[in-house]
Amino acid sequence: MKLKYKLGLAGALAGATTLGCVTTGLSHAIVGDRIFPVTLAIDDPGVADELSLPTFAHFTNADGSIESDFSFEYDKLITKDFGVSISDTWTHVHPGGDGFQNLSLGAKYHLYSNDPHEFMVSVGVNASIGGTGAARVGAVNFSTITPAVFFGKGFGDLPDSLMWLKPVAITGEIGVGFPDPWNHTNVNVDTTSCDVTTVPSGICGVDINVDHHPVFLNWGLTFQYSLPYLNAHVRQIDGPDFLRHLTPLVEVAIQSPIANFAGAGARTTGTVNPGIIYSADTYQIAVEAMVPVNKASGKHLGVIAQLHFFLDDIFPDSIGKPLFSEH
Amino acid sequence: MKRALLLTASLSFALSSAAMAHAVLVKAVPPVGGTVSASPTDIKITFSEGVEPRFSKIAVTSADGHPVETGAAGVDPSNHAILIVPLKTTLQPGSYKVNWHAVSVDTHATQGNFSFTVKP
Repeated sequence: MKLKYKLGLAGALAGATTLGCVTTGLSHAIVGDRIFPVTLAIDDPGVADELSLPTFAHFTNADGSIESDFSFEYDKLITKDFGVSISDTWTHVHPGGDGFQNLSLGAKYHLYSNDPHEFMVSVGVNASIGGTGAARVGAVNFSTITPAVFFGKGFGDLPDSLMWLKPVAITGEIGVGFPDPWNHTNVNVDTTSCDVTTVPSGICGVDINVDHHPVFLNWGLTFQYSLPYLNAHVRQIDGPDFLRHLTPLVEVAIQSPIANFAGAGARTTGTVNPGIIYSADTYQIAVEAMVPVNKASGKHLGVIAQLHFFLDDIFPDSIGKPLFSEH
Repeated sequence: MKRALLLTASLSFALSSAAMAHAVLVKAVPPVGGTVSASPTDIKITFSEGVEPRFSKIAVTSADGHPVETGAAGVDPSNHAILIVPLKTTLQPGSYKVNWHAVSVDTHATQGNFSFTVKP
């Protein structure tokens, strides 16, 4: 489970999807011969013990304000298929100020794997806790609950006649961000026009004001071409060892309001992120450009970068293994 | 701040001892997707990590799916990241597929396959 960098490019109402024996490759996002790298704009389909620290993003919001974010996410396996996460972001926005975004908590379950077809599915839920962040940097005062589905598919099962396409993989995520339903109602008592001679209670009107926060559809895809897979399965890559660790990719992350958005000014926002990932044994480094998909998402290129640690490889006998495991 | 420094130190130490990870194929002899002019006497795969020969294996099949007889897999005594399996027969010209399964020294399992060709 990775920090999905939340594209609050429109300063949006934060649809927060942030959302001694042989171990069988369930750490990392591994299925069959495929290792899915950690992606930045959407979450990968695996569950693992891992740490993203830091994720840095710098971009211009649609309103012209310039934002820099420093984020972390820590993921902990409870069992080999179930993990929980915690993440947060410190934001500096100019003009505006600085402060933390709302704290996010997540849970994710690895549901299905098909090794020969390099296919895996996970389900999860993320909660962005309203009121835990600073309003001056856009943190909202209501919570958002986002159930989501994650998948990954590698194309190593293609016939040998299409061998150059075998390193291709796609991953995806789709979720719906529901604002919490118990924190929407404001009751205002209007006593300004009361005639206390006719209404002994003094209450002349009750104004029930229901805040309808938008419901967001959050979805995204990644398109990857794994040079490690190319080197190991199709054709040996000669030259610098550095090349054998690279995965060029394009990520797409979109948020669209689907309910309760009339009058709220909520619009579809998102980015397309071309970038590259360097995967080492115990860590990976990723850098991507952030290209807004429309004016509501911004007008300028942004950048996002991440240093990520595979705790299952760094601390295999302590914090890098599930709390409850068979071995 | 002290806690942050400790974390940094711990991670630095862990990263410098990169002997704990998943074993990924770095190179092979015969090369992945390559062509050799004569039958090799063995298959050598160099991994990114040391592997456990007792739990690791290499299997070779011909283009028509027939298994090629091999000896027991072992590691290079001077480099436990190199897994070697001797071939008991001379390979005729043609295409061959190698299926490997590796368990790294910290017990993480990986697998993969590749093809090579023996030139006529």
